[in-house]
This record gives sequence, structure tokens and C-alpha cells, in this order.
Amino acid sequence: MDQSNPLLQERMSFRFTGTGAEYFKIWIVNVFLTLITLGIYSAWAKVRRNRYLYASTRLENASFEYLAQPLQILKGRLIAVGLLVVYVASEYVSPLLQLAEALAFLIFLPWLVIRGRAFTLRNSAYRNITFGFRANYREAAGIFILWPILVALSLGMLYPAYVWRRSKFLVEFSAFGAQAFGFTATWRGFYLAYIKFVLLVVGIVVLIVAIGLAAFAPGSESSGMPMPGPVAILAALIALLAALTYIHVAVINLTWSALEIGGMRTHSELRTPAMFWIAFSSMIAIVASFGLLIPWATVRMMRYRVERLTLLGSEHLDELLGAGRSVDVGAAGEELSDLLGVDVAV
Amino acid sequence: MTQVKAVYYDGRTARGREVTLVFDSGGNLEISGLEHALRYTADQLRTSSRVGNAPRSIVLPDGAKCETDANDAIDALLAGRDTAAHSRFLHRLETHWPYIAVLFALTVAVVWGTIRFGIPELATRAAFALPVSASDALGRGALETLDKGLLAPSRLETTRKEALKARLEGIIGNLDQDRSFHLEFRHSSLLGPNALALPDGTIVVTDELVRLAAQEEELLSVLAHEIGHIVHRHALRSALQSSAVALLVAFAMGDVVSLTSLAAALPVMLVEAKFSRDFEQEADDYALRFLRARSIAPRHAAAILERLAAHHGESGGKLNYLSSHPATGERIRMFSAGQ
Repeated sequence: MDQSNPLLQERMSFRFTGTGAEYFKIWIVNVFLTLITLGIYSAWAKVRRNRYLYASTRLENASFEYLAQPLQILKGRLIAVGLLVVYVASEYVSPLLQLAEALAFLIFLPWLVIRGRAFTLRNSAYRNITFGFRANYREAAGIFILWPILVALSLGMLYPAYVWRRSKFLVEFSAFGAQAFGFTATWRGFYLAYIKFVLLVVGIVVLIVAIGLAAFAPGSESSGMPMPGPVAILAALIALLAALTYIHVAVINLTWSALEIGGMRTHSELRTPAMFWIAFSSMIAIVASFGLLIPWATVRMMRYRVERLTLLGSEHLDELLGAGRSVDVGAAGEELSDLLGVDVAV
Repeated sequence: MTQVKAVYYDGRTARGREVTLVFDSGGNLEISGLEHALRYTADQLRTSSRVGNAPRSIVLPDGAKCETDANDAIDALLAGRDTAAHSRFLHRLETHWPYIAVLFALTVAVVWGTIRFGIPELATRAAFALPVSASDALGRGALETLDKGLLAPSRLETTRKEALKARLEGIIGNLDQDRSFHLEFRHSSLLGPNALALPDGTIVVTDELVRLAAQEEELLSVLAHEIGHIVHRHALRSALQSSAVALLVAFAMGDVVSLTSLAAALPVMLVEAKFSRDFEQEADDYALRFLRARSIAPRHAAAILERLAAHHGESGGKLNYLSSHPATGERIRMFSAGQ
């Protein structure tokens, strides 16, 4: 259908040129220096790691660039850790104080998300044009406070709509230079994906229970409580991981195939079996190597995700405009949401 | 003079133009390939530091940028300037396998040393700095939880139970000024002959263990081992050590791919098995001292260990009393030699 659109003629794949061996060397230096500086170096490590991974991501021979300064990140991390210490310490002062702080955090959450996104995008550039994020607090509060309440009230029935709405929010307030991103996905695709996911999980549970019942059929000798064998547990875990991979892949594909900018469109074609194999074999490799193969796994996953992404209508790339100079964004919001695991990646 | 191919981006549009950068011996730059040649002095340029073989950019004072893959040529140009010394050093580390091998060995040594000595030492100090109530809090509700699943009421005759409880508690009741110890009897087909130490001073003994013991001294030696766990605050230390190791791993290996982050937690389990063997050793040492102080022959401990080993060897119970302990043969030898 895209072929019929005369505005989207050329298609161009994103490429990833990083290698496991090269990244391993950067990683081990990062790990070592972070350890012996008791964590101070982690800010520099983050910059080096991101600079390598960004610069290894290419589109039409130009690479992406990570621009954040280590000192900004260090300052952000210190503020984030400081706030966390205050929060933990207040438990000893008064549980009421801690409750008030938790409430304050909830009210600040939308702000954190905005600042986090803004910091990351402001420090990402392609062809000397930086990305940006321009949502205000009111808009973010609707997504990160009001919507979760609605989802809870609907007993989860609204969850797919929420995921869709959140992706839409994160994309539509993002910009590349002077151009805002558009988001073309509808909520239907998200519902379809989640319905398939739920059916998958139900199927797995039914299968496991059936196998369990067959193993403990009346007449077979069973002492005490019935315990499923380790093989059944392992199979259930693997099946569950596969189902989770399915929904993960579906949401990425839906979102990354709906990005529009300056007459162009992105298209993501991740496949669940390939993604599952990468995740599963990487996990085994990481365990067997006591974590040494983490950089290899990082590069492998990045490569797959990046190289399954294409840009349609790439002949318009040259027409994109820069936004002129924009204001700097502090790193505290980003580091705090990182530390607390506020995950809003699209 | 150095010539380098690059792409020029003015920052106003995304259009790139292929240009040639010509540097003179002083590092001053002339850009050709645009409408007009552009000239900049060396101190007007900001060159991004090198990371691997990724392309890097030369930022011009007006915000325009040249992106180039010619890393070696740029490095040669910057070689004389001290502004790039720090990143050149990092790049040297990052590209030479011998340095990588050394750093790798040092990293492993630091992590190993921290886990093997640093964390246990810190956890011990922290555990003993905390009031006894911290241990009690950890054990609160533990017996109730166990009673719901693993344990069933004792099936021993009440008279025997009471007599045993009175005699054993008479010996172990007031060992520690901080807390008293008391006994609970329970039946458990799953645990078999077993004893559990709860951090608040409760010691649970299974009916199966009472039956397995030929003499009261044997039972006492098992109790002494369990008291060792409580006196040395092993439950609290174990909780502290596990969280410290998890923190260390998360912190050192900071960038784990989200889907595989679970996997990084698994080596932690291996470390914990080692911690638990250390605790068993400490509890055995305590038991040996305990028996000697009361002139009870340590061979009773060896005897019940042998019987436990034989019992579990036959039935191969799922939750083996001996599974997390040091090799039983070694322990038996230790108690036999401790006469």
C-alpha cells in the first residue's frame, strides 16, 4: 500500500555498524573505572557507551550522535541519589512524611517523564540537527496520572488503549529540528495485539495445567502436595517468555511503523521468533559467561532492532530543517527516572 | 598538511555536502567543496573525542559541523594538544587487547575481592551494629508462614515432648544475654529429619530428627549448630549480603539489555551458595566450642551427621538438610577430630 503513495518512493534501511568485540573493550574499561572510582565514573561511562551505540547507528551514511556532557549526568545522578536517600531516611523520621513524599513523587512523575525525554532527545542529533520534546505538565499529567487511574477503574480493559495513547503522546511531542513527529497508529492495532497476547497466555496456562493433571492423575503415587517437575516449570517459563516477547515486539512494530515526519514514514519489521531467539540465547550466554557477554548481547539486540527499521520516502531527508538554538535541559529528571525505573521508552 | 574527506552539515537543514578538510601544520582548517572556501583557526574548532571507530565531528564556531570517518588522521592532528589527552588515554585503553586483558583481570579481582571479603565483612559489622530487634523483625511471622505450608503439628507424645523441651531449654535457654532460645517441635514429611533456626531465637526440630537421634547429646549437637546460626546473626547477614551483591552487580554491569537483565542475577545465586557454606562452617565451629565447653564428646555430632547422611542417601529427600552444607564427610571428620 505504501508503494502506491507517490510521496514515499525511496526506502532506506537503518544500519548498525558496531561490533561486539569493539564494544566489549569500551564496556570493560567503563566497568573497571566505575568500580575503582566508587561509581563517580559511571557518568562518563554512560556518555561513552551512548556515544558508541549512537554513532554506530547509521542512516544513509550519516550517523546519530549523543551530545550529553558527563558532568551534567553526574550532577543529575547526585541529585537523584540524594532524593532517594532522603526518601529512604524519612522512613525513620515519620511514616507520614514518607507517605507525603511518595504523593509528591506521584505529582512530580509527569514532570520527570517530560524532563527525562527532553534531556535524552535534546542530546541526540542526526546530521547536526538535534531532536526535542515539547510536552507541558498538564498534557503529561493526563497520560501518567489520569490514564493509569482509568485503567485501574476499567479493571485493565483500557490498558491497550493506554499503551496506544502513551505512545502517541511520546511520539507527537517529539521533534526533529523544526519538524514535529506524527503518529498514525490507531488503538485497534494495540487491542488486537493484546487480545492475541492474552489468548496466548491463557493457552499456555491451560496446557500446563493439563500436563500437571495428567502427571498427578488419581492412582499415581503422590505424597504431600503435588509439585510440578522442573521440566514443566522450565517449559512454562520459556513459553511465558515467548508470549512476553510477542507483545514486546508487537508494540514496538506498531509504534515504530507509525512515525511520520516531513513526508516520510518509518517502518519496523521485528519478528517474534527471531527476537525470542536473540533474547533467549543471549540470556544463556550471559549466564554461562558470568556477565562477560553482556556487551555482545547489547550489540546483537541493537543490530537486530536497528536493521529491521526502514525509512520510507527518504528522498525527503535533505529537506528537513533545524530548529535553531534551543535551551539546555538538566539531567536530574532523566537520572531520577532512570534510577527509579520509570520506563517510558517508545 | 593533512587532507580528510568529510560531510558538512550547516545545522539549518539536514542536507549534507561532501567537502575536503585541509589542515595546515598548525591545525588551522580550510574547508573546500562549498560555494566559498571556509577558514578556521585551530582554537576555533571543537573535535569530539574518539570512541572506537565511530565517526566523529568537528564543530565549527557558527554551529555547523563536519562529520568524518578519518579517525587516525584526526588523532594525528590532535596528537600535540593536551586538550585531548584524557580521551586519547581512554582510547588507548579501549583498543589494545593487552590493556583490556589487564583491566579485565583487575575487574574480576576487584569484584571477587569485594564479594568474598568486603561484603561479608561489612555485613557482619552492620549486623552486629544493628539492635537485636532487627533480627527479630526478620523472624517475625516466619513460624506462622512455615506452619501454613512446610510444617505440621508435632506427632510426638506430649509427655516426651515436654520433658525433652524442658531438659534442652534448661541447657540452651540463656546462652546469649540478648535473647533467649526456645524449642518448637513439628512434623514435616517434606523436610524429613531437620532443624531450622529462626532469627528471633526459635529453633524448630522435626519429629523425624528426634526419632533419628540415638541420644540426647546428638540432638544437642544439632541444636548447638542452629544456635550458632542465630548467635552469629546469619539470617540478617545473609539478607544484607544478598542485597549488597545484587546492588554491586547491577551497578557494575549497569547496561544490561532489558530482556536479558534477569540472566545477570543468576551468577548471584552461585555466590550465595558460597556464603551459605561459610555460614555453615561458622555454625559448626560454634557447635564444636559449645560441646567442648559442656564436656560433651563431639563424636555425638559426627554420629548424627553420619546417620543424617545415611538417611538422605536412602530417601534422597527434596529439601535435603545437607544440601547447602559443606561436604558431610569433611564435617564428620572435623567433629571426630575434635574429641
